[in-house]
Amino acid sequence: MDGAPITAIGLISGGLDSTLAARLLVEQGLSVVGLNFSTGFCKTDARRMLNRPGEDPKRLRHEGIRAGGDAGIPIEVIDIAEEYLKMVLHPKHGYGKVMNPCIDCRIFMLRRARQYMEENGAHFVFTGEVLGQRPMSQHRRALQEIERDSGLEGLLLRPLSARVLPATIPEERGWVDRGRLPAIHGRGRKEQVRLAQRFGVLDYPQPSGGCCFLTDMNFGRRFKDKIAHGDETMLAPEDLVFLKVGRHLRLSPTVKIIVGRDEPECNFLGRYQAGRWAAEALDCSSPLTLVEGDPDVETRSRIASITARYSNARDRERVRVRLRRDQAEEILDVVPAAESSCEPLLL
Amino acid sequence: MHPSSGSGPAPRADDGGRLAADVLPRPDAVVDATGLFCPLPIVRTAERVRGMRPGAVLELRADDPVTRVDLPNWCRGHGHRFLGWTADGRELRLFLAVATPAAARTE
Repeated sequence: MDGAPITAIGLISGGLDSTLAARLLVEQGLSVVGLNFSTGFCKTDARRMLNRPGEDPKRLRHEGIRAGGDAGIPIEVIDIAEEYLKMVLHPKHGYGKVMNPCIDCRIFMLRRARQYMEENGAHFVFTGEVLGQRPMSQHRRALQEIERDSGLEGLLLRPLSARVLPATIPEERGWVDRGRLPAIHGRGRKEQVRLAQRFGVLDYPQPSGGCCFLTDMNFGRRFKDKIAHGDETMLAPEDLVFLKVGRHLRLSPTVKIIVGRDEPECNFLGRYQAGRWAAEALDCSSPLTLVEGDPDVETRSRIASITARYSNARDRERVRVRLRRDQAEEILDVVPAAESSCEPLLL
Repeated sequence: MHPSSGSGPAPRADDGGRLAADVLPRPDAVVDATGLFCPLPIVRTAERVRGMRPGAVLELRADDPVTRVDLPNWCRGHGHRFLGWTADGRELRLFLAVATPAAARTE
């Protein structure tokens, strides 16, 4: 490499593959900057919001930032939640098993990486993708499509699978020595583990495949319900916050309730009471029930009854339940709902 | 953008560095991220640090306990010096000194 240093921009989740991809380039003397996108659908982010007592902050650490720290690579965390949501609602390539638009997600992030590369005078983009590792987004045709649609043709290097993929511009121009890059493909992890040992990478999250809410069946059901019962053009990332906690019961096309399952969830829901009805059973240990929509008198009585059912007074004949919305308050004396009447309402 | 050329990470200090109340650094800038959850305190910090001179001290105020882990890690990647933290109940005050160009490994 002559003259100015070659700078590569990488998508760094903090998982082993993206970490190794970065290390392979650093090893060849390249300057590396990592990008990490905050989409609003990260399960760890949601666990942070609940702030459960006794939860070790280290288990909730940001893995991308941690990986950058361990490798001495700067990580730029970019909040893309608003634009990302628009993409999730209308993915060109469709969804996986749940609401996961994996191909469009990659294209979206790589377009942002290309923009960052251009704005900062960097030379190319890399990812930790491995040919054949994931069924939807990492087969050969998908990788080609992702490269083309992100506008990075020739400028997208997948270092871990470099020698089983066509040579890229960074390799052809000698910015990167292709001969020193691996030829990993398929779902096995042996090669990655071997590379991790070589680089001394010991601290990395185990691949769980479950860190994104969009692959979560429960979240997916609630998300679809949200879309079906609202104006999706008005949907904002903060509207999705509730979908991540509690039991959700749809009472009518315009009213849904969220019942906290434990104290951290109730505390979390409690922060969003302004302008909304909320219910709590009195004289017992009760969840907080938060209401979306504007329930009439009859529906409020039903909400009280369901709240009583999820309190520890569910076996009493009658339970007093307080409903509040801002300054308005009413106390209803209700029969706890039967489990059989709640189950069909659960999302 | 402060790319790394792999000259090695700064020393790890992700859970240490509690400061005594009488030796707190005097900040040149304060970012209040109270009520925000990680990574947003880091996003706000990064935005503010961009306009600061090398060696200047930034104070981050936050109440997400994970900030105590994430900020030192973020500093290690960017070459900033994490100076430590103090807490009053849930309220955290964390301090960093902005990287000099050499520490940030700019080229």
